Amino acid sequence: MIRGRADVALRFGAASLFILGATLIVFVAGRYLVGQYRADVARRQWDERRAQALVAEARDRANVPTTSVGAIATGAPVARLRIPRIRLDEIVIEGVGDDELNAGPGHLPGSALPGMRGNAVISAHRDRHFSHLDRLQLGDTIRTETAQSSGAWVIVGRRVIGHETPALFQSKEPLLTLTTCWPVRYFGSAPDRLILSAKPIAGTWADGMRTRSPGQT
Amino acid sequence: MRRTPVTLRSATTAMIFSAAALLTPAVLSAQFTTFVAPPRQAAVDSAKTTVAVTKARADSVARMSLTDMKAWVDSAAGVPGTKVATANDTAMASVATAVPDQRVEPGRTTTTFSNGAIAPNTATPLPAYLVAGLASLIVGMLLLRLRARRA
Repeated sequence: MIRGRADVALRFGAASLFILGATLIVFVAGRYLVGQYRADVARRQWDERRAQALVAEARDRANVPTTSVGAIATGAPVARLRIPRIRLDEIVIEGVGDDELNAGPGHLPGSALPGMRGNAVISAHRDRHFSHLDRLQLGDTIRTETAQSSGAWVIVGRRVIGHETPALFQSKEPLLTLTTCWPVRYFGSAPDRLILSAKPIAGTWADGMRTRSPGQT
Repeated sequence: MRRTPVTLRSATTAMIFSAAALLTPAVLSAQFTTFVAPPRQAAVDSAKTTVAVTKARADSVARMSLTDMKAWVDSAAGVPGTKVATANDTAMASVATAVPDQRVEPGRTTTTFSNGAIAPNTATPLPAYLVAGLASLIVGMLLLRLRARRA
């Protein structure tokens, strides 16, 4: 009788754990797959947008007026981010919500676009697109490409701060800020943030953006 | 042995006296306190005092640092000041130049850029879910093997 009850309890416990584990794994895998799908969609949209920008640029050269770009919709691709040292090549998506960060690095709305005057903030999850951001050191280069400009940046600042510490500040000069969670290898919700600051490298911006060389103050 | 009769009247009187005897010291202690004589003041050298007072009045730094003591005390106590600092008021200036409050509301998340904003919330529970799911599967499998052995 007792053995029968223990047998039932074991079966029930095993089945419960199996169901729970399978549910969690399917959920996580689903989130990753949806993120990958959205990243692919964003890359296709980015390629289309680049093609449209090239057409618009050709029209500008021919003095044909073009329509101006309006407000960027959340979820739309806004830039391409490449970091050779960690072999990162991702399309940056507008917004830093769960869905946007699941699909790719997110551009913080209200911040400047990379290459424009001001602080351009790009964030991503430590377990996804910025999983190797901790390997970057001062002096490493980053390349960005938007519809308006493209060029290279050099990392000039690297700091780890608490998740409730003010980290983002306005800048009169072009500035690129990459953020992710810290520690990168951490079980649970990471308590800190890794903040990388980069300044544009003079001479790499074809559109004539006013930049300063890294050594200048 | 002679017995004394106890009447209701005498018992009530005894109770009243007992209560009065118990309560009186407490009441009295609240009314009378020990007199402590103040210490004698040291003899004041009037000439030195006059010189010191004159020097203090002439010292603009000392005079200015003593202005608006209320604001200074409030700032030391952590009460936010409401007055605007003036150029000549060094006490208020010290309040105005205090380190800006960089505390952030707990649980706040950044969705748009603003000066002094915290970094966007990039924390994700997905890796933890994955590990928990795998652990559940493994434990469930171990339980099944245990059941098979028992059978």
